[in-house]
Amino acid sequence: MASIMDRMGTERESAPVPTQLSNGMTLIDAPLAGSNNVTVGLVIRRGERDELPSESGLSDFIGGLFFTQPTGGPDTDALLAEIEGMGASINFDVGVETTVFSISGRARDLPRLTAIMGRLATDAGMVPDDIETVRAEVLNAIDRSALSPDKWVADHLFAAAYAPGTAIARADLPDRKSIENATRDQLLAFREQLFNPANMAIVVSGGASLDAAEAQSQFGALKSVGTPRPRTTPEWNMSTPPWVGKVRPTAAGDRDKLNISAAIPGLPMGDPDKDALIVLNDVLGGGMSRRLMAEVRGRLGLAYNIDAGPVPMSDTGIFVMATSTQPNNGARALQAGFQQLRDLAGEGATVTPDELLMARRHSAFMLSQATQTAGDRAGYYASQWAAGRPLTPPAERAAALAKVTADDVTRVAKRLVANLPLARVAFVGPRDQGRELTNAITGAAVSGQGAMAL
Amino acid sequence: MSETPSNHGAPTDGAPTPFAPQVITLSNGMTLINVYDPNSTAVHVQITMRSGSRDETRATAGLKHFEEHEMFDGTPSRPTEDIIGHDLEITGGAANAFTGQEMVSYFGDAPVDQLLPLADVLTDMLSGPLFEPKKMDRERIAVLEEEGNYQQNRGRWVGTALLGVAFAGTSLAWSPGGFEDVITSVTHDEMVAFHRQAYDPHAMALLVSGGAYLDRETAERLVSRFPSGHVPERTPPIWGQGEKFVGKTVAVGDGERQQVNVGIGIPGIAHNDPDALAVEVLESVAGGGQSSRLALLLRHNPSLAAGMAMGNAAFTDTGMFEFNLATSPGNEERAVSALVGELHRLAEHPVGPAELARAKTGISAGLLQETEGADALGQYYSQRWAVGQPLVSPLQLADQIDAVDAASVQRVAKRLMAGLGQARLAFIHPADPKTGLNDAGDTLQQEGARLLAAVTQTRSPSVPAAREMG
Repeated sequence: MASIMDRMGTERESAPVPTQLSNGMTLIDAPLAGSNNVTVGLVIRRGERDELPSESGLSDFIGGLFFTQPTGGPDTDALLAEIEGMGASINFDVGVETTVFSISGRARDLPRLTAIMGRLATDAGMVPDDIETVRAEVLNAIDRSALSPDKWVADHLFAAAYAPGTAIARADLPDRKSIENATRDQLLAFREQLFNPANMAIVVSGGASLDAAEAQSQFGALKSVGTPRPRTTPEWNMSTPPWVGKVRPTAAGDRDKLNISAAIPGLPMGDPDKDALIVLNDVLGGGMSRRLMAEVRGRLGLAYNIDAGPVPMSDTGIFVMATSTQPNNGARALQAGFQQLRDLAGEGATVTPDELLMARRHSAFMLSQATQTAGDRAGYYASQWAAGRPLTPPAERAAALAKVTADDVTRVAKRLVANLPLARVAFVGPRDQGRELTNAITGAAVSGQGAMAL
Repeated sequence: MSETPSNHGAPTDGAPTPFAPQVITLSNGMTLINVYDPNSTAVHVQITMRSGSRDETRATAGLKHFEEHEMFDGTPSRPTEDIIGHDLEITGGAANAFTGQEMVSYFGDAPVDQLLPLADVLTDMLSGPLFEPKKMDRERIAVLEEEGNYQQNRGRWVGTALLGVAFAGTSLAWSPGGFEDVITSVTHDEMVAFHRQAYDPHAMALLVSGGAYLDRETAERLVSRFPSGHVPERTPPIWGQGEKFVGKTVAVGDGERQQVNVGIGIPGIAHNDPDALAVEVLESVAGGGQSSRLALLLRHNPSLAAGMAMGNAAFTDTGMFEFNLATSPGNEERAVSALVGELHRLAEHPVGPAELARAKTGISAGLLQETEGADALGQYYSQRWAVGQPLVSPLQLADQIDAVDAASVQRVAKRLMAGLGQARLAFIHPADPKTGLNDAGDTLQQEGARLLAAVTQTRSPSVPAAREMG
């Protein structure tokens, strides 16, 4: 353990110090010595759960419109050619609570990349042709998601987990009608309230640095309009049935498949048990030898893969388990998967010293692997800022994980197990199995099935 | 990243020069490759065999992939999968493997001080897998489940089916997953014999990249128990011996829009073909980014298709150039014509200087960004070694790409065009009662014939050319 920790500790950066621009925007400059690349990210602490019903999907729409022609600027084709002519690439991601736009390129091009981001952030553009193009792209993306069983269950998990009609239950499910009907004026108004500098940060990481004066010059024109709407308190879905599902026939020649994603209430981002939860999750699903794969695939032969993981948000969280199996094995796979969690909570074999060591080491190594490039590092600090947490270098995070004890793991497992009666399920398969899948988690009787027939 | 020239495969010993691949031939014929990055906190170990599913017979098709699963299940010194998993993961890292048509690879990543424990488990796994019968039965299930997962992915189904119809009657037509009857019937003894025969050190490399490296003596010890099999001579590929297309219908579920997925294959460019880099640049011009020709085509014709792509799937001695699209039913012929029309345009008119420069910069920048970590750099060099390409660094490869000119791109486009008459096709169509398409009827055949005609009858682009961007 000491070795990777020591190396991470002697890495090329200390914690970046955020700087406030005059308009309330935050600058986070996190140099990464030795990198020839740089990423400039624009992070907004607003996402899909901040949309009104009539705005469902507009964050995605605005996301697609960001890298399009600014007023009086080059048209979208020329803008994208200019960016890609530098060898740079663009990206945007609309999440439940955050919206991120980024541009990545060579470190020497940072001034040009920053100027492009500054112009696009401060100028809405929205040429009618671009609006129609992006509208078609967003609708296409909705259609693509509907056709993929994996994506369908992932997209419907919030709808299964949170109270119908609440904003967070609509996350990942943009509404076709609001996309189809959105006018330019509506989009401009939505963008204006979204791009509130008090809710925004510029995150730069890589082989070049952005100083506050330059950031002020590029992004200072962005002004606040009004007070952001308060976020509504999330409520768990207590309606029945406690599942959402899609029944679709299997194509001729294909094997029957059941895709499942299940959620129980988890922990919010700032929870004192957040590090214990990361280690717990690694004990469960951090590798082939961990409990989920060892039991569900290794011992029982019920599935090729089974994953689990926490989805923490600012004021709530879910704990997710997902797999795909033959339909007859779905309930057993879920039951066996969640039994591993019950065991860790004290119903069976609690975490061993060896498992704990493995999970801590693996969590620390994964953190170092996930923060080694300019883009990774920018994303790491963007996430911390968006969650309202102190900016902490990866080495410090790894040190915190190393302190997690077996008692911590048991305690957080107990907290999760207490929520099992509230399990909610999303599935796609050839028949309706919502009840048996939910019962498999909550502890109701599950009929025994053999391993799948060959 | 500072780099020094690679030695292009010349055997050397001693400490490796940072970033320059050091290549050493071990006494059993195996190749050791060190790619040392003194700044890296991680190490990547990869064992690659220059032989994959296309080197199997019908009777053994799928066994390399099955064996890939079995390798993690036990050895004489680590008799259970729990022990193997523990010894791999106690390093703090993780391991995985993949099987392709021309290579099999086992690899792991760990903190830099864990090189020896990681390499020890990986080499032990390949030295003597137990093929314990009960575990074999369990892994048969996992392999078939894995194949079932792939069937759900439309793009993957089209890609696999396209290769199957393009190289019908040859081993290149088989999915690396092989055939269900082979997987369900193979015995312990047959797997032991297969392993001994299939693993040939002369066709294998042990690569280490990142913040540590292996010396010859240690590497010799690690691989001393490897089997000494023999990789058979590869049979030459033959294009288009069977049907011209294959299609399937899929029911439309609740909330789903009907979509047609089409894959078109024509004879492509091999890895070591003189035009291999030119076809990469052609791919980038056609579809390499938001300012590429296909991106522009879709941006200005959003009703044409939900997605379009073209690219070259290279093998050592052959290739398949693929066109892929997803669109709504009734739109597919127009979309096929527009997509194939872009290749016509590339063959008829040289790419302009700004567009060419942008395409090449895009490839180079992507290459340098994608090979930043120890794992990515290790995968890059392992892939090159597996297909017999010189071990040039990403920076050197970027320089080679920069030397590709417009004439080369036009030449390779013309070469590809010459194969349009041999096009093969795979598609998924919604099972829509209105169109009457179903697996048993003639209409699926008619759809295939119509799409194929759209490919061969496309003469010139049906939409205006994208303008040259400065």
